[in-house]
Amino acid sequence: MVVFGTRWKGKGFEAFALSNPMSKIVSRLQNSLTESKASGLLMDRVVDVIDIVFVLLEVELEQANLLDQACFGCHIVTACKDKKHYELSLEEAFYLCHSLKCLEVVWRDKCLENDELWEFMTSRRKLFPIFYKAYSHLRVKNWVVKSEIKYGVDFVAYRHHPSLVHSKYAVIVLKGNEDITRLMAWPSFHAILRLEDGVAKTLLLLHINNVHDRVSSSCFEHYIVEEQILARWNPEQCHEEHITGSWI
Amino acid sequence: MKSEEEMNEDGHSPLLNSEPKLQFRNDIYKARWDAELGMAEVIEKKGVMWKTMGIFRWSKHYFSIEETLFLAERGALLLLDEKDTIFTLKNIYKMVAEANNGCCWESFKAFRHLKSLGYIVARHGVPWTLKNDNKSCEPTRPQGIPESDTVSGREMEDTISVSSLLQSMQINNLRLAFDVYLPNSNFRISSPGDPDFVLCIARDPPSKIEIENLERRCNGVPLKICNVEHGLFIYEAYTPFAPLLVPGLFSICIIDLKTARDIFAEDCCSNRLRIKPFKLPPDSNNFARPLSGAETVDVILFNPLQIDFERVNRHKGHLQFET
Repeated sequence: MVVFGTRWKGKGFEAFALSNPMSKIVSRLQNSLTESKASGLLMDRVVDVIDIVFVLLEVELEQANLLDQACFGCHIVTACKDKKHYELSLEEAFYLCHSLKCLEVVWRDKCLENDELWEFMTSRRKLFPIFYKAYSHLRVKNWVVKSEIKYGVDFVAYRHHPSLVHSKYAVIVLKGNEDITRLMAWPSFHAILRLEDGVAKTLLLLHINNVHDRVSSSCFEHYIVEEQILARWNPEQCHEEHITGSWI
Repeated sequence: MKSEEEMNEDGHSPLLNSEPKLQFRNDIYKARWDAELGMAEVIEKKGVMWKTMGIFRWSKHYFSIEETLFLAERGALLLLDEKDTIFTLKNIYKMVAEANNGCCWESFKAFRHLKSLGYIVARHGVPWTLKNDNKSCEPTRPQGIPESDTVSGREMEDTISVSSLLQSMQINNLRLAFDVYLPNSNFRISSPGDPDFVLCIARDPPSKIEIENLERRCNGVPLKICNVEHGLFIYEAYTPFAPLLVPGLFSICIIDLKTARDIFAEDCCSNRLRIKPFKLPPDSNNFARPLSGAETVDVILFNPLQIDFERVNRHKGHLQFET
């Protein structure tokens, strides 16, 4: 039996999270960025065969704080004292742009409309539509979603800020009923879901269906997401676990 | 009989000096190998381990090859042939490696791992006994060999052996290998009940369709998937559902319908509680949308990944739905 719960890193963290829900944090971020007419720079460059695409965002200290709290972007350490710089992934940038409507993205001195931005991102990453669907599917439910390619998975999802929670999902996005074996053999699973110090104990497979090749930026709204979980099970721990306990 | 705590499973101790010391015991099982059946007939037994092992046919007690080897490894069983010659451990390993008796090396490793931890492990699809009222076995035995007094016992046995054999040899990626029960001192072979889970052995990571097919065949008994090739790893695969009691008296998280029924078994029997699975439509932003007749539902299974938890209020430790 498995307790399908959130494990908090410390006493009082759960209460803290409940009184500071992620939706409120994201909402504050949204307001702050809107007010300051935040603008991100779309950076693209092909280095050898690697396509480097990200959005650079320069913000005030207060906004930087909100970005950290809401887990958007990766802070770039600089010597600059009054401004902070963040690297936003394509999904993060598009979410702030399209869903939260609090960011505009500039490319080569031109501000891109949603459709143009979608087309750009899709042209650079063929799988962007399904990755974005997965990202927004979880984000809109107030999960914290980070790209974690270095672990061999597409995203890692947390119930609240990673500093507060232990439990997380390693997320892999699949198109349709695509077979995971084409992407991974057992050793990868074992590595990702190691019982000690692994990325996570639970793998969330998101199958994105109903994908049409349309160019509009809202075409992904018709996609359907089906979830499937693969969790590591430790027979040695199983005996004593009972099913009581909160799980939010 | 040495207690089970002294048993340790290899593969879990990276340090050599923590390897278990298995010694021959004073009270030992004796079993005779029946090559036709591919099982060992128990001639002498001691202690209590036999109460959760083996199958009973025509008032005789038989151990499978994996049970035989498990006990033999621990010095708890002597296996004899028809001439009363004792099989060496090497012989028995060979029998498993050759996989002619319904269990291959991979399966044996999984069997041994769980057995050492105290789980009750039975070969999937093989009834413990052939009494008429072992209905509890049926739901998890897809082979569903019909019980009939007119069919000769031995023919039935052959069918069972051959099906188990075929199962373990099948070329499919996933095979249903064992029915597993949690360690339980109240376990009775005469009425084992549904297993706590079915263990499948998978050569490659399973696809969604493969898992769904197997889940159907297991009829609500949870599935666990095991890979033995790179060390022993066990996974649970499921579509996330969890029940929530309405009107939010308290929250419990359980994965599957079967476990939910077990926990609320008493209440289910007295009809005070009805459990009904409830699947959210994909893309739904809401939860607890009432189904027709939902007023009569006490427990709703929902997908926690689709829930926006912030819309669920916690009141004095209870969960309530936001309306």
